[in-house]
Amino acid sequence: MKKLITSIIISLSLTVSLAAQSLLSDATDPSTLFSEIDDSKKTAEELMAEARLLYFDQRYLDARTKLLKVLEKDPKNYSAMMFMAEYYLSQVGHFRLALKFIKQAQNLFEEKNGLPPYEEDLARNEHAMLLSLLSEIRLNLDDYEAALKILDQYGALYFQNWYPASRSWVLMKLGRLDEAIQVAKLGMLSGAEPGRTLNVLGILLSMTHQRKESIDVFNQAILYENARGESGQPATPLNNVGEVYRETFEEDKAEGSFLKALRMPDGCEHVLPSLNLQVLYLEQLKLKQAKAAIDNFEECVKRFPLKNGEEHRALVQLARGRIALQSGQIDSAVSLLESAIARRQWFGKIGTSEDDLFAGASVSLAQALLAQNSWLKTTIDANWVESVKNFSRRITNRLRSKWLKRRALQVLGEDLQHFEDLYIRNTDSMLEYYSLGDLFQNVPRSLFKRKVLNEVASDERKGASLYYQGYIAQNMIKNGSLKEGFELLEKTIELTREKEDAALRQHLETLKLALLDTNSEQYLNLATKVYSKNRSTIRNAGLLLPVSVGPSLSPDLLESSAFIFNSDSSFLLDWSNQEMKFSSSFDGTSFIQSGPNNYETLNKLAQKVFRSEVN
Amino acid sequence: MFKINILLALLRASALVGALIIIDALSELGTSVLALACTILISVFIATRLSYSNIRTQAILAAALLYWLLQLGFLKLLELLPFAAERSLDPFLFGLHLELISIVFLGALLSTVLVQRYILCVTIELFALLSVTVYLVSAHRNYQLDSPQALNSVAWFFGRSPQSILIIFAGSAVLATICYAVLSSWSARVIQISKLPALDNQPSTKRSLASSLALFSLLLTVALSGLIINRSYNVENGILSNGVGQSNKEGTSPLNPNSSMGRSNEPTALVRLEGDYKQNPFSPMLYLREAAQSKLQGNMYVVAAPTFDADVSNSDPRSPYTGQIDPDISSIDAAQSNHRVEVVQSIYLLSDQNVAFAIDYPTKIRQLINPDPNRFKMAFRAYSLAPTFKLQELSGLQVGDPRWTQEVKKHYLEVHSDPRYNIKALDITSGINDPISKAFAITKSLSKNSIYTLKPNHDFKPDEDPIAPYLFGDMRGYCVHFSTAIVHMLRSLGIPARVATGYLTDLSEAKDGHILLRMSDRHAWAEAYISKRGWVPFDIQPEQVESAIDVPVDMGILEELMNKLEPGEEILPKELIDDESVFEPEKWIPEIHPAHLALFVVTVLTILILFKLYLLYGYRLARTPVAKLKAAYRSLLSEILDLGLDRLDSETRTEHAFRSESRLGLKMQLLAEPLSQAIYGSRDPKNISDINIEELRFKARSELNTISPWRRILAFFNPRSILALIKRRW
Repeated sequence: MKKLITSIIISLSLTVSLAAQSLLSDATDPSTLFSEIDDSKKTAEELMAEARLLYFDQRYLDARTKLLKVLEKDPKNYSAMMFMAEYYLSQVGHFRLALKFIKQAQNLFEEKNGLPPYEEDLARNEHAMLLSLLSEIRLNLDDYEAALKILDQYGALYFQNWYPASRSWVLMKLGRLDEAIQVAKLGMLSGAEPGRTLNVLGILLSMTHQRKESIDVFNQAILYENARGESGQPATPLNNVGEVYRETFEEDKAEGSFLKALRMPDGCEHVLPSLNLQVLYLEQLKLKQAKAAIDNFEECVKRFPLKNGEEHRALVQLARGRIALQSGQIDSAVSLLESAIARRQWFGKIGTSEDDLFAGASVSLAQALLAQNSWLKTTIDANWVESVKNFSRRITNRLRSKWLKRRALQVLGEDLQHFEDLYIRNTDSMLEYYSLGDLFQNVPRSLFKRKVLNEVASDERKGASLYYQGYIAQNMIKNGSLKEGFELLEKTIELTREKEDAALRQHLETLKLALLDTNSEQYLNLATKVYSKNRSTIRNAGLLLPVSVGPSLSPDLLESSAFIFNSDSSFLLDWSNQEMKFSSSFDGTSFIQSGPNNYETLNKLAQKVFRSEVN
Repeated sequence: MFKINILLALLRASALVGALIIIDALSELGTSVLALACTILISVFIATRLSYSNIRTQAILAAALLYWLLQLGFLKLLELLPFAAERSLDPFLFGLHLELISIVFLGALLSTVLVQRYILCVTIELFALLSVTVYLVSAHRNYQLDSPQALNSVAWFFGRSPQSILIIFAGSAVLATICYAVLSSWSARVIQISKLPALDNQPSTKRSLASSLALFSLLLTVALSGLIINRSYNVENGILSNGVGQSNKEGTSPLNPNSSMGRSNEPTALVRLEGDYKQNPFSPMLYLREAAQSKLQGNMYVVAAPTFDADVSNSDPRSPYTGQIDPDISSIDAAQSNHRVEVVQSIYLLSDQNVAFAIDYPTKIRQLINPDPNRFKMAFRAYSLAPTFKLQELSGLQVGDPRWTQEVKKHYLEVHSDPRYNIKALDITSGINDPISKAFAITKSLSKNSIYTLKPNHDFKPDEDPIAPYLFGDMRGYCVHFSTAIVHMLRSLGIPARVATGYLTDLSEAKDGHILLRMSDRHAWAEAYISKRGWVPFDIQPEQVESAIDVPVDMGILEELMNKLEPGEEILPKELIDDESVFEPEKWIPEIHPAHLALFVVTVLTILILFKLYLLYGYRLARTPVAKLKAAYRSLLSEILDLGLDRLDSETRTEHAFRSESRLGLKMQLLAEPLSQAIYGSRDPKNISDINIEELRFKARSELNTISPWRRILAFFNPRSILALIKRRW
């Protein structure tokens, strides 16, 4: 939407700027505009023309300064006001200020031209642009009713090819989906701008579960945008089609779409493809790739310093926190997730909402706090002071975790339309579906089962049913139906796909592991398997890794540590030359730690053993 | 007596409601604050009434437990209700609200009862409050007076420093604690259950109780205000140095090996870039230089005589400054090269600053009109010729300036007496011939090996070199150590160098060209002179970090300050968006959700039922036969009151009993007679134990069973008897 408005302004203003360029024949190089000519001697029109030039040269701060000078000279210059509004809307994201400027521009415009309709072309064009900016600003302020009213006013007076898409988008935001689909479809028949209209239509179709049709529509949008050459913006439909593929459990296609979107010129600064890619990789336990997706995004977005990163900061913190949690960097995960939950950000453009973020970040933070407890519990305390400190920390963490889960449930149930996000892979949701069972495990079994069975009845996707089964199994185990729950758990694990459902499988296997006798062979085998998939999982869940010990170490050393003695284990702990070594005959990895005493060394070694390198 | 009780209950309830509102502001509770506040109010009043009754504390605890069990049972029952499948989790969500309301209810009830009955509980509560206060204030240790917006706003409003406001805040907390402790320690304050009637004759006791509760409210409010400040803003550990900005009088910058300036988030200035600076070679970082220290004095560098470092303004921000434009390094006059560009900055100081700072290098500084004297100390505009050269293109250039005299050259090349700096520099740069590549190699090496810490804890005497323990020791230090070490090494290699101080800020945290500078942005870095380019920063980025460096900019403060400067304030009418619904301030009274209202009704009904049960069957809990007789009589009295037959003020028990018999056929006299005899002494209280009170009550109320069940149900929910109980009419 923002880009659309910018393009409208660019097209409308280009003519004016060309005229301005002829006026400024001696100042066509924007770099010479400041020092050589004294602005105080210029007229408002000259300064306005310079501002346009600077703006199109992407020297936004210079343009802003010029526009302010225009307004100093001519406080009733509504064009400058509109320009300022556009600047604050598109370049800064300061919508409140943008609204102030556009409202003042509207007042001044009506003061000069009277109330609509207008007969003169110039007045009509300017008024149309004013309304489009106003509706866009309203939309960004999440004031959808007001945005729709302005669009109605616009529709009664003018028609531009962007109009159907905008109207359809606002209707979608207001939850009037059928009406929105109708507007988009009719728009396509009446000459609406295809790229954007198809995009909105595709989203609407996917929201109403017409996925096949949605993919077709997005593919048309991609073709259209590609055909536009350099001015095309294919990243958005590519990202959208990727989201639909992800919803239909076609992960390879989804990955391909997200990667393609990121390679497009308009894709890298857009947070969604990177976030989607990171989520996809995290679901497959590809931690390095997940981190790289976020790193690449942040590198790219540095090119837009004026925007200040507010549009994405909380989402990026959330993504980084989750990666840190999976890679065993627990303290860092807690601090990142706390930042994510504390930060507010604007969500208008990306479909998700503050409630989505809050729910997602709360669940992840609760998991991170419990993981921190597990790490503290499996750290050998150096002295009683540390024991007391760790104990109090664990109590605080447990209480906070309980509170966060409670709040997340409330938000999901009351603010997000009766757990709409329980629909697996709801693309707007910020939830991690593979471990969502943690949130629902304390819900009474009968109620939860009824709710999930109702979801299953309306969800024909086979891939989704695994997740639903997993939640029910976890809920059963937690609520006392151990045997039944265990059976369902095993059945679900068997059905998961090795690569695509890696994180879900790992989560379920950890649940299973917690139910097994730590001395059993089954525990040994499963623990070895889980550890080899991802090093931190076992310790995050508060479980112990079976290890054998070398002749120079006593198994008693392992008491209260993250390890448990098992002579058949593929992992060996040994001590030689003032160094403790952990080696795995399973995958050949080894870690070495030196230290003053066995306990401290063991603690430090355990930090390494259960941490995955993601850099 | 009755009024004092009400006053005390009101005080405690207000304190608890205040705490609740603050907690909700910190972390949304999810349940209607209004419902919770009403719960507290009811709970505290019930607790006050119970505290002054002769009911045993154990019985109150048992009732609380019973309430909890009832609530659990109620929720289990709810689960069985046939909700629609898609809304099947609604009972659970309802249960979450009920659970919180119950916790608040029981918490307020039990704490009030215990505090009013046992001095030990007063001590425990006092201890808990003190712990909270200490915990909150401890974040401000080491004079770490951070930048909470609320604190600064108060400070700005009163024209005081944030430090003084914090001291007043802490002082009040301590004073309130002492008062509370003194008043609470009066032994007569505590209600002795066994001597309950005597309580009415102790007005002084009540006064002290009232005062202590008032102070308790104050203390709680103060502590929780601190909690808001502490939780809402980044408060980190660190050391605040003696003032902001370099003072010419001091001779050295406050940034020194003994003072790291800490990680204080206190805002010091707002910088507004008036134009783009896209060619910034250090992007996204921006250096704003305040001073240069090029004179080697002992082991450290200090500000040199004015004949040196002419590119630094060294001027008071209030005095106009015009610098010389060096044609050799300025792109303005050197058409063939574009090494510098004009960048205009407006700087609005939030703290006192002795020396103006600007992007390297300022050619002109002029004072601006202060847009808001309540917020800003002063404002100035700096016109800088900022570098645009690319760092990777510097290699191969000459260092130093051929125009320098021998004296100047000697000044910038004066080396430290410790030969180890040269040995280390040679070691790092072995095999490199180009001086600029050598400088880059040194910064790269230090970046790789240094450990950033605000507390290096090096042990050195005043006359010893404070940098040596860093460079030749544990490699732990902060910007002062890094920059001084680099300058020592560069000079030892024949590269003219100096230490620069000022601010280093991250432009990616700027908004609309506005940058919020904080104490944590104070920085020292090394600079080397490169021919035709001028003084170029050679700074390090330690790969290992002990003290976290990054503290995000508080966007709330940045936007608030931006709004003081935004053009809209001057150009746009103020009332433009006043009528905007999207900008309407949050309503003080929270919106009442129907579910929450239902919850409130359920809670009130539950409390009503508990009260009624207590009134009707509470006599079984009485300890003495007389008390039991009295409670049984009261039980019957409450039943007929709810049916509409009140005992008049002037009416004796006997008269009332006759009236009841004539109207309802009740035999109240069966209970009224022995009770009057026991109270007025005509019957030995010991003989009361011979009476079967249960049987008497049963006989007395037998006629009630003939009344229609509907009327009896309605009477059960009639609150008149509860009101009578609260008013202590019986």
